[in-house]
Amino acid sequence: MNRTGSYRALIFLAIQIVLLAGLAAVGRGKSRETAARWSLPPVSNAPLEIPPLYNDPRVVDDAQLAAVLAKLPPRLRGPEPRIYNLDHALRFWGPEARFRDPQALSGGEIADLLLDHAAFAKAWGPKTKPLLMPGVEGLEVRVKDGFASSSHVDHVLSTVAEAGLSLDYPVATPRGRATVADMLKHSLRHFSLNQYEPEFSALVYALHLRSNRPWVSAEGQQITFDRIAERLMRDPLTDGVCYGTHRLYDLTVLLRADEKRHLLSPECRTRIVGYLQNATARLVASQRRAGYWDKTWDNSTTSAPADEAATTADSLSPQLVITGHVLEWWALSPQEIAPPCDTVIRAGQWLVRTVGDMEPKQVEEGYAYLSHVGRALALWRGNYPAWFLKHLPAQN
Amino acid sequence: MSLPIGAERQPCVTPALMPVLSTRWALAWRHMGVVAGFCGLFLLFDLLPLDDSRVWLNVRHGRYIVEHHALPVADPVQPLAEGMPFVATGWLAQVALALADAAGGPQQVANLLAAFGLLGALLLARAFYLRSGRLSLALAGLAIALLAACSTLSPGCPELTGITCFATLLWLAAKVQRLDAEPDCDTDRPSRTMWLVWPAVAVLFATWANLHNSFFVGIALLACLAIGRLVEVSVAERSVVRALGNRSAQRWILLAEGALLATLVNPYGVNLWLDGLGMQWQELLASSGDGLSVSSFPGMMFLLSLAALAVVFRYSRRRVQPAEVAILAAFGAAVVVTGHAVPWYGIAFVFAISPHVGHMLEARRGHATPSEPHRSFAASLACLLAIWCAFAFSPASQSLLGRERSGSNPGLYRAFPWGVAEYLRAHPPQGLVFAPTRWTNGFAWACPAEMGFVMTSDADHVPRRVRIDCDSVVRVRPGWEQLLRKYNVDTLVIDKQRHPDLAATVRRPERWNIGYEDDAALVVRAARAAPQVCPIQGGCCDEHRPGSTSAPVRRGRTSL
Repeated sequence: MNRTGSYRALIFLAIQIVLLAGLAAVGRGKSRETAARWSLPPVSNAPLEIPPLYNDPRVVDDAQLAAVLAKLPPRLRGPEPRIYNLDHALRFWGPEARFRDPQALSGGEIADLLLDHAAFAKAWGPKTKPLLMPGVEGLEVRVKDGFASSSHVDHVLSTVAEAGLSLDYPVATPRGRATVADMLKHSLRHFSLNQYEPEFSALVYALHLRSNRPWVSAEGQQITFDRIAERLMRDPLTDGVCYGTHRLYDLTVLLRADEKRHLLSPECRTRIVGYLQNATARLVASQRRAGYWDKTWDNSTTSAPADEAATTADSLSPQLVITGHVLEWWALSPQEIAPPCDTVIRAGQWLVRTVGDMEPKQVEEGYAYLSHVGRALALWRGNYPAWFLKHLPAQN
Repeated sequence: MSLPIGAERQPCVTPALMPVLSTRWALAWRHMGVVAGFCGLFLLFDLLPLDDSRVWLNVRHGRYIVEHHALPVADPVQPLAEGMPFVATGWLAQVALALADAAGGPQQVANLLAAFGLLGALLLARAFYLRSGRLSLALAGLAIALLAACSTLSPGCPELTGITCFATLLWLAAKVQRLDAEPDCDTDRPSRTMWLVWPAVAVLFATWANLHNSFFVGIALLACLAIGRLVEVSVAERSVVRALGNRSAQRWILLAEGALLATLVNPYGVNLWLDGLGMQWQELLASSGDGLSVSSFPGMMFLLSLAALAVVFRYSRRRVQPAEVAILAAFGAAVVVTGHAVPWYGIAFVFAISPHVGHMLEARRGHATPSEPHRSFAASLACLLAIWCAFAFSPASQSLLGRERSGSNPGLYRAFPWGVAEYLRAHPPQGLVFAPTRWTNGFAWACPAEMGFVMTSDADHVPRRVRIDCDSVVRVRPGWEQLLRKYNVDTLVIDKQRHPDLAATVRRPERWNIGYEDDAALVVRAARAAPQVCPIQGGCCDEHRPGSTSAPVRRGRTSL
């Protein structure tokens, strides 16, 4: 090889080194970019509190409230307590509640049954599949797999958040210790905008995420609160968990959380307000004379709203579900969304009367949705059921 | 007229007609045959309906780019794809198609694609000619390449632009290989052709990267040529280090690297590579299950090519070059993994073996030099006539010659439900439209931009859950109506032949209203009563507020 050839070889080698170095630098940069893209958003250890906004004794007075709450202690002690009752009870009463009724579980016991595998296995037997299962990323909760599993995606997690338990709250799984944060991690990563029942996931994120920083789901989709809100508003009004009423609650929580953490874009916020105002208007128009709502609460039927349908055992359940959930939602709703007071008063008084007339067996069977009724009435008195448990001891 | 008395009649002398043009322009009659063949090919490309519906989706995407003067950040046709990674690979082709569509509708799109197809065919023929040295072999090779392409691709497919770029690359590679074959190829003074090849390759790959994501095929071909040349020189020099100093080996390596760098000239930079590799990987995963079936036409073509390869390598006295082995191995492996690689393999196969076939024929003929064909300007004029006839008969001349053509949108694919498109235009749905993806692509082109569809043929752009749910709907699985409500679908377009169960199930007036029906398609709208909307009559919030008997419980961190 002559001198020119040597120079050429050197230049060639130099070009190769530069190219390889460039490729390595690009690869490293992209690797970091990918890692950042796939990282989860910052979370707050303690869930955000969304306190009730109103206190109206015309909706339910002290005596009525005490009577309703007295009918709804979590009498769930015994073998095989259903998970959907346990998580509703924890959300209703909170983790610190204690009752004189020996059949009623304390808040701490309920939390243990949900979050401690040893307590769960003791109640359900060792052969039952565990409720909490460590997954590839985080901690998975078994869903829709019988009474020993959660009834909705992320329902246990949202219950825990609404009950005020922090992310570092210990969780015991069959394979060792974890925390609630691991449950949230799994939820965030496996969330899909198009999943069945996104309501409870949305609620958890509104309560725990500190900012509107997007994250990427397992499907590769970038998730933002705007998209979550749009997803919630996409279904027909009465579709969804509990006849679509959880969606209204979630959107209101999103609005309230947005006031503190700026989770939504102004356009999306405006859309949510309009959507909820529309829902309120439909509810006001479709309320039955007695004060309740039924499955046609979106005012989509041509029958006159004042027409009273004959209340049967079958129809009572959806009436209680919808009326309880709607009052619970309105208790958190800002003024611009709230209905006329007469609507709320009529609904509250109907709930008081109906629950008062219910037999213990009926209460036991409908405990999950009656917990919403009790919570709704308490919220309309400006506080949580646990507070009234302490301040209305005669009813305990 | 009478002559004067005594005058003699003089013979009339007319000058002989002498051509002013150089004899270079005189063609042989066999050239006329070739020109007529290419004219026929253009007519075929231009008249065939564009059966690949993706072309209309590309037009729609291109329309978005033209209207917004920006690349879309999410799929503009599939609202459910919002938030999913989206790279507009082929945006340049999409813009070109959209401009053609704006200029003259589907026919202009077909004209553009026909021009692309013709250019690709010409370049392929030229590349094969440079490799084999024979016109007949070049045309035979082109026929094989077209057959391979037609085995898996439809007219108007987006891959057409990529294949044209690939043909250009093969032509350039054949030119460079000719330079390599020259005795002074390793001199320090590069030829003028080589100086032109460098920018040509750079421009080609920069364009290719913006036209279609198949540019990786070109990189693979250059890599095979570079590796092959390096091996060849290493064997000759008995040293890899020395081979690295060889000018020809360096040239191929640098060409491959330069081509790779040129592909970075795109709006997405390196992300285009990552997206392209991701798509290739997904395609591999998707096709790895079924692979190339031996009983299929592409599979039989592949087996035939292997048999032909064995015969050619057995009887060819030309030394098999490492680059040819590398090309056949790489593209053959690609075919084994995915049937989508058949067109590329077919072209690369002809490129690799054509010199050997040429050599075989030459050896058979002996040393007798072929007679130079008789050239005449009559043949040249006949060629021009053929070109004019092809142009005049093709729809491409419509705008120039001003003829009215019967039938609307002759370029659109067969079995496109025009009636449904017109119905959707007349009755725009409020929610999303669920339709077979093949039809959705056409609807995206034919319907207003505001109309959203659940899924087009770009199914990989939407989340996996959507794809699973769409499958459940067409199979009428339990809860399929709830799935549609979940996606806010209020219009369902059903292919009656392909989804008869779904077509039968939706004929329920309480749930669905039939909006349109013909022999092939059924359109139903969700039977939802329009709910009455009532304004809120006053508020009571201020009434509720006062007299709070208890402050909300402040719950801090709770740890039991």
